[in-house]
Amino acid sequence: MSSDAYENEIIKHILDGRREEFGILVDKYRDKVFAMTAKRIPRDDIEDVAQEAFVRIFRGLAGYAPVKPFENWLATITLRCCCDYWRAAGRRRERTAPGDSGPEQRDWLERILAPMSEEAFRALCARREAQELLDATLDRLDAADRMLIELVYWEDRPLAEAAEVLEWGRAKTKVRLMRARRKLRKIIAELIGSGR
Amino acid sequence: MHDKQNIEKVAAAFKLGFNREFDPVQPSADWRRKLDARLAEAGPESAANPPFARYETQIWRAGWISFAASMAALVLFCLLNVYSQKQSAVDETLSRLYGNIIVENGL
Repeated sequence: MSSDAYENEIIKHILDGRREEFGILVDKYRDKVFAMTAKRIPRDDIEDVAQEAFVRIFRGLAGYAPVKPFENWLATITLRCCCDYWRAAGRRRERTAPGDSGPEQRDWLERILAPMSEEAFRALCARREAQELLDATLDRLDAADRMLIELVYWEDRPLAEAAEVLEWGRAKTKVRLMRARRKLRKIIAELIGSGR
Repeated sequence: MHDKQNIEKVAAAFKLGFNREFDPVQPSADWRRKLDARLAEAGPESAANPPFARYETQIWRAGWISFAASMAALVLFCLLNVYSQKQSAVDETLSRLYGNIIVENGL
């Protein structure tokens, strides 16, 4: 039995009342869901978001149509949970001002702009300051723009997939992506300006 | 041009930073227990008419807003209509009055 057929069989059992079988799906996809959320969500909140994703997956099982692989459907729901997290976070706190980057982050910016080898560039990109500055930059975008930039611009996913995650039409997604890129460019330009 | 290159460079650095390898995150021992407790409370939703169920509140809200807007437009239309009828009655009286004055004075 193929993986998809096996999963469809489990889903059928769950919907028939054997709810404990959902544990099989949790065990199988836990690492994937955690990896997806770890990339997007602050460490302290990863568990909550992953848990919310599994609860939504469980509650939405009846609406799952096996026309596409279960794994893709699960990924879409997980990404939506991440997007909802940032929407809620955006409402909770004030945005970071562009001049708020610390001396370490400004130093990182200056170093990244200097000529260097590919290896040195990659090593700099993996530093903590890079992550902090990236977080501060993305915090200034709204939740949907943030998700759109991450999906299309950084993860190179097709526009159609991003449109599906955000539940938008293709045309709207295209326009929003263009605006989000423009916003991101502006934020980076401000960062570079304040870094000098 | 130089600024554009700098922006591209920082954007590329952010892209690399975003896609770097993360240390695998392992759920705490408590995580699974909490998840099971939440799953026990939640049941799979019915597949019947899911889009309506999902957006029911928004659909009702949009319906009420449209209804209120239509009612407001109707009231405004009626008021304008009454005002315009009053205005035509005044105009008619005035023109009759002027007509009489013109006839009486042989103008």
